[in-house]
Amino acid sequence: MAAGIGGTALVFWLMMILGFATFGSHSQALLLNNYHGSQDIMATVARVFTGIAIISGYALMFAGLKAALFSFMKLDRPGVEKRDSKQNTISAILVAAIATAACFVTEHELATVIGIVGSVFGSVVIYMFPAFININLLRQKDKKGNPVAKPFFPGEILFNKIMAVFGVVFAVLGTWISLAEGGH
Amino acid sequence: MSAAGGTGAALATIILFVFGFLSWYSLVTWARAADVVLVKAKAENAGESLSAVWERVLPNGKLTTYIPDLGCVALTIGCLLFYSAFIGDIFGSLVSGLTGLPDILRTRWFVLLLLHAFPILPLCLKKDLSSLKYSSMTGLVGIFYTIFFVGKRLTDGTYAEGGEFFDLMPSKFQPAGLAGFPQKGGLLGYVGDMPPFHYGKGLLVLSTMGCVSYACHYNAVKVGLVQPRSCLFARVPADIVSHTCALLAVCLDDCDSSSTSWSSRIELFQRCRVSWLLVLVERRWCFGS
Repeated sequence: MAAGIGGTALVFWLMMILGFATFGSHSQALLLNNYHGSQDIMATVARVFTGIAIISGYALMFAGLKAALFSFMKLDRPGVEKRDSKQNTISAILVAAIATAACFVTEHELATVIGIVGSVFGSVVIYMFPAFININLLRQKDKKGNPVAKPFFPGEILFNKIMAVFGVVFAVLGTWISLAEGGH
Repeated sequence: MSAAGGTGAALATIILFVFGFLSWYSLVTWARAADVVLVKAKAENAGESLSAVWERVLPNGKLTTYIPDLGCVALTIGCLLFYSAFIGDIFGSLVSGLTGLPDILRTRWFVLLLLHAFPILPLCLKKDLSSLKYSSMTGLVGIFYTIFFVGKRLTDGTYAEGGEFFDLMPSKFQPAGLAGFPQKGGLLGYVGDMPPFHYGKGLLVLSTMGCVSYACHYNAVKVGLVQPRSCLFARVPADIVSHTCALLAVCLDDCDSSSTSWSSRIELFQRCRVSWLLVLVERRWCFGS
């Protein structure tokens, strides 16, 4: 397990060091933009591979969307009639709708809106929801009066309260920066 | 790292560790909660969503399951919309240069819709995350190649002044030192130019990016349910390292305050995705299948 995530760490570290070492202050947020679009064949291949990597990750993120949406629509219960058929139909409609919407906008046009969505809901899902879950879970006891879950470290409940506040702060901060950047 | 005045490499690293630790912690705790209320409690008819855990942990959780569900839906739809636009942009520009194809086949919208019909839709209809391992592996190969490519271009000097491609690029894409910091040169190029603990307004940008750069928690319960405890806790140190380097990569690449918005966010989400790809590899190792 550690080898897999360790490999990820190595990949990211190398991209960071090598990219910045090459272009310094003119390094683009999307580093491949620093490389020539047609003369540099290796860069073109890298763009193709980047696109393939995004496609491969698309399904992973879509899996998260399906889990949440089907839970909201109560379509994830085993007793639902024609559950698989309904799920596949909704999934196909979602992919079509997202693809169609993307035909009318470019990544730059989506910048501010997505920045706000990412900041708000990202902070909520990553920091606030887990904090609420942990605070309640660590306080729960079973029928014998024993805690149902052991804390990872002392003071974990307080830590989660701080993390919840942390999430609120960065939701506001991220929204502010997205709006500030969108105004330029 | 140099956005809005810049952030030193050491300070950026610390920020990465902080957000990486927090993101890892929230991931693991989702899995812990799922383990307690879904696995050990042998919950019947429970889904694999965050709300499945939410309703069993929070008081009156059943009444508010829509909150985590809609939060995840909003987050993932926003990201997927951007992914789709990005796929259209990158493949549209690649195909537009292919001569010999009819004009309609070289349009951005056609390429975008075609790719969503195949292979994206079949992949999205998969039920089990482990079935995505082949496409995930392909993505990983692409990432490794990109690493190799970036390293090769650094060492061969083709983009440095006097190199083969230097004059072909607009000045804003050519290598340049950081304003206000003398160029020291050396093996790491521009990396060592800024004092390691330097900070400015860019620290704020860096922090807000780091806050959500590991946004992959929408699958936390799904993956956490299939990981044995030993594997879950064994990857703790590796998680911290990977997430740390993920954001550090973004930090040090991020040098233009005007470009910190969208392209940098897709980079952040790409790195989250790579972490999830490696999680699938980990599953394979843990289960030996």
